[in-house]
Amino acid sequence: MTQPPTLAVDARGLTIAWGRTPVVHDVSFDVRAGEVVALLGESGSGKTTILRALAGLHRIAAGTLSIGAQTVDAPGSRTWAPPEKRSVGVVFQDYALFPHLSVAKNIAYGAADRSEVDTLLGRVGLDGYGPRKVTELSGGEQQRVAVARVLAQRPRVVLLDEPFSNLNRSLRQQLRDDTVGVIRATGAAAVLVTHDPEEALACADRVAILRDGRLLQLDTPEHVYRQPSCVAAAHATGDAFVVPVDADGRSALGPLQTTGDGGFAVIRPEQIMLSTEGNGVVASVTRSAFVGPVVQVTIEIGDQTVRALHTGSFAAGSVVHARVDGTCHRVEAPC
Amino acid sequence: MANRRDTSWVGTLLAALLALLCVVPLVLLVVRGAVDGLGPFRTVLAAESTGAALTKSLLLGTLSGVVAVAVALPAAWFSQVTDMPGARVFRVLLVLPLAVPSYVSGFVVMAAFAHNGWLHGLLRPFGFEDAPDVYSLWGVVLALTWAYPLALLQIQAALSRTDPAMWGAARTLGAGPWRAFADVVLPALRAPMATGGLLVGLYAIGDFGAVSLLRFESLSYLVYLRHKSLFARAEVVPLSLLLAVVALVLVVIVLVVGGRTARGARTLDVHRAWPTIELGRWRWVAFAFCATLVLVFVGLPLGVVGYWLTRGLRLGAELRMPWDDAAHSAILGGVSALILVVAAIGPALAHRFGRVGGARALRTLTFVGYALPGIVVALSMVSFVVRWVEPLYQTFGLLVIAYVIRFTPLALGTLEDGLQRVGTGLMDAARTLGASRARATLTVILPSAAPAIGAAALGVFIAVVKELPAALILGPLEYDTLSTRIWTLTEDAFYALAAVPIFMMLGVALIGLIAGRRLSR
Repeated sequence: MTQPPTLAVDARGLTIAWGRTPVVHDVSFDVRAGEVVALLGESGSGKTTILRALAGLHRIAAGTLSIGAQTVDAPGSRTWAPPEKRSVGVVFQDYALFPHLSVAKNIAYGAADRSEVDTLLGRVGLDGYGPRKVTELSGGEQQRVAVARVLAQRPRVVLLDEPFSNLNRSLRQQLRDDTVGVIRATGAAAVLVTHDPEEALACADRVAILRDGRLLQLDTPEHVYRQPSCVAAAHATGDAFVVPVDADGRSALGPLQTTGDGGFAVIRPEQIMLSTEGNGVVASVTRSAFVGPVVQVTIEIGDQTVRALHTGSFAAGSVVHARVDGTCHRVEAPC
Repeated sequence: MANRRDTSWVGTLLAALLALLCVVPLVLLVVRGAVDGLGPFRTVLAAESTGAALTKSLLLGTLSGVVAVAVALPAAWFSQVTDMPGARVFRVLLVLPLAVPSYVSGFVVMAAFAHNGWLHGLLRPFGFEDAPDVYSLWGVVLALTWAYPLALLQIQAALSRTDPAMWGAARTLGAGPWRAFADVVLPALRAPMATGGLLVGLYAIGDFGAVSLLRFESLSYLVYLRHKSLFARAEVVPLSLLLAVVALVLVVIVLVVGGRTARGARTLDVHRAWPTIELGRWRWVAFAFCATLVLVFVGLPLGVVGYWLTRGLRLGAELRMPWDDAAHSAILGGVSALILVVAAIGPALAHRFGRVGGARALRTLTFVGYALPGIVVALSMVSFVVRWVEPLYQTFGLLVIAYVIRFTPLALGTLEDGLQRVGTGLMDAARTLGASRARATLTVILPSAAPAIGAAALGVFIAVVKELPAALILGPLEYDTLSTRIWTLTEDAFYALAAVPIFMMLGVALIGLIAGRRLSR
């Protein structure tokens, strides 16, 4: 018999309040050792509050929170570990580098082993930056220093609070891949807080979708995208259209292949196939918008307006045939 | 942010003690007044001189405020957002008059514009026999116009918080520059103009240096005369309380107007740079305006002091370097700065990184302390000490206590402003990196706050060196400071002898002002 993998984070029934206002309601999730979990949600969804609770910067009002084998916050049993007694590291949104310390001293601040500083600088691609002032670095370089500073503490869990949102688009993807790669290489688990669905889907092993302080769904990127638990979860991961569908799969967009239960089907734009002739329901084009790799075509089918992705554009007013490709997931109407 | 549910009780206690310290003068006056009974109050209320002095104080405050805003508004606009030649340099130069204490500006008004003064000497050959009387309302208002940077700083800050896009929007909607200024800029500046004017008014009403030198019997001078007189000393407490009440009413108005600024103005968190507004031919008019301000309020003091110095030397006056006075000033300043920074750093950190119970009430108390005129603080201590702790009267210790009370709001305010630039995220980062609260404070917060601490210490030091009424009234006998020396010599019209200590004073104050601005950046 093999041991079940240990949990890096185990959160049971977290309720967190700001003052007397609860902002996170009864949220449970876990993060396995070495796993990257993204907390995805709009601002106000409670994702950053959860991260602050994990870090020990905010106490939970109810529930149990464990990091590894250590119970760090459990109001019920009056257990609480301050941030410095938890095996967590945080990459803050504004990096929070210490302005009066050099790059090397920033990294050494919480380091388990100070002789590793140079190695870590090399690992984040900042060889020779040790003596520099952090205030002289670019945003991307500061972000790398923040990552190195966290890795130096050898935490069991790395918490990332929108660490890429202050960076240029061109820089973001590269840095994102590098950062997640470096963290994975250390074997630490990571919790990534983000409002960007693409970032969450691309980086994480599992994605937790939060809305209004509640956990809507926690699953692999593919599952949360293709099999959303509800309408709101579907919208959280990207463009989606929800159409009524009957028990036999008939809908306004023609017959659908469906999985799951519920009277509505979630259709993604890339599933809608357009053609000038042939099969499919008749639709009229209201607008074609060239967005680079593809053309976003807005069509009307009955009183439904949906956007499809297509390789070419259609003149506004022209008539096309639309059909839905692949499988659609069924959901209940409200969430 | 620290955990919002935690109120730091130690921080709250320290902050409360410090805030209460600010209102000690009021308590002392009330206690002494209660013990003395109603007699002195009746005398003061019945005296004609009281009403006259109150009128003069209010007139002085109003006129000074209006003049200062009239000077500061164009100066702020020209130097902040236009292509006036040298705008960047003027942004610094225009603030420098703040370094000139009112007894020095009073000296300048007397030595430059009075009968037999510098200007009179220049004009006499052309048949000007009578110089206008500077021992008058207008003379004092002129001397207090040196405080216009108080208004300028308010307006500058408001300008940089105002969204410049509004200007662009108005212009592209067809408004000319004058209309755009009147329609979108002026409304955004109305509250800071009011606050700035009120601050100058407060400064004028509480002023002792200029009114005493120019013999203008406003409340703050009258109360000093009563203190000096043998027979009317009992009137000091009621008059001080009256002056304090006038100042407090002004503070309440400042707080209300300030609150309205915070709520009403469409301000930005992010600093957005204003476009440079081209003045065309007007740029030289703007330049002339600002250059005149600098010439009058910075150049003139230096020039007049130099004039009296060389004139004195030519007439054979003996130059005496006031090293003793300077040393006394420096020791007082240093000791007060040290005590205040140590006392204020805890509460300032608690305000920034923790949660302080009743923070708003404490802030209001501090602001009350800021508003109390120096002469009121000094006389409140005298009235209490001579009655109950006589041996403390005119000791070094009492003077330091007075300075600590008087400048607590300054130290606390400067520290809190400086700490605003230390991100609260730093505390969180240090904690998650394994530092305890104490270690995080020592290794991250305090070093990052070094500029703020330096600015606060420097600010208190300069304020103490410049301070006059407490040094004059509470200081040990034969313990002259630069400020009391300047005042005594000027009052006795030894202008040539006053010149050297004034040079020293201006040197210290100007360097302090510039260094302080650098630290706060």
